[in-house]
Amino acid sequence: MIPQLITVRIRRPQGRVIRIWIPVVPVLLLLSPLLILGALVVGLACLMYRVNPLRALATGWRVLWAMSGTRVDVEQGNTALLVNIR
Amino acid sequence: MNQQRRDILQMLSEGKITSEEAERLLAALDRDQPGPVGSTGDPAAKGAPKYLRVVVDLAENNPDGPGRVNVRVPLQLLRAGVRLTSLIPQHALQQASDEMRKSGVPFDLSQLKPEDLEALIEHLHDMTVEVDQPDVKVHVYCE
Repeated sequence: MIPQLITVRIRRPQGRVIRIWIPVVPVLLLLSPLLILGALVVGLACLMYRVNPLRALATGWRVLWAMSGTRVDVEQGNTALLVNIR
Repeated sequence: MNQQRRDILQMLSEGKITSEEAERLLAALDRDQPGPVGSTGDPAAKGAPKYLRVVVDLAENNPDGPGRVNVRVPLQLLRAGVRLTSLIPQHALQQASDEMRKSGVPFDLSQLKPEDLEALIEHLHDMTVEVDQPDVKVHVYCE
């Protein structure tokens, strides 16, 4: 299953906390025109470098699909950053 | 969760595990507690690992100040990333190998096959890396 939600939490030195929730599927749908353009560019680049575009697309999809469960948590003094993909 | 703690402490009292192992297990329980994927706790610990965990603890006396880095990477993401290597054009691999050789690292990247890397990932669960210095502790393991 592709990631559904990306959570970003930033804690500033002043103690202020910013939380951002990014619903992946709606954002992908919104950006789909750009994604199609990007896919075309990637396809052309693949042809230039003699890489099978379908294979590249499948691999990219696999990477996206596998990102679910990734979590990065960094704390330094009063600041902190958390990125959680689920 | 309390039962798991009791089991760990009992194993420690019976001498089945060392105090260091008990501490590590208890720390792993603490880490899993706030996590959203709590439903897979025990089976994941005993079965095939699902994640690669990198924990870096910076002590108070560290020049950059105290801090903590905790990264959890799904092993399936590593596998998918390994497949990306098959997309790298041969001449790019050759160039990279040449540059590495010039830098004193005689490593031929073109000989690195995705199957080998997959096998490497398969055996990652046997790996634990611990770096213990006065100002920083690094722990890399699979869970």
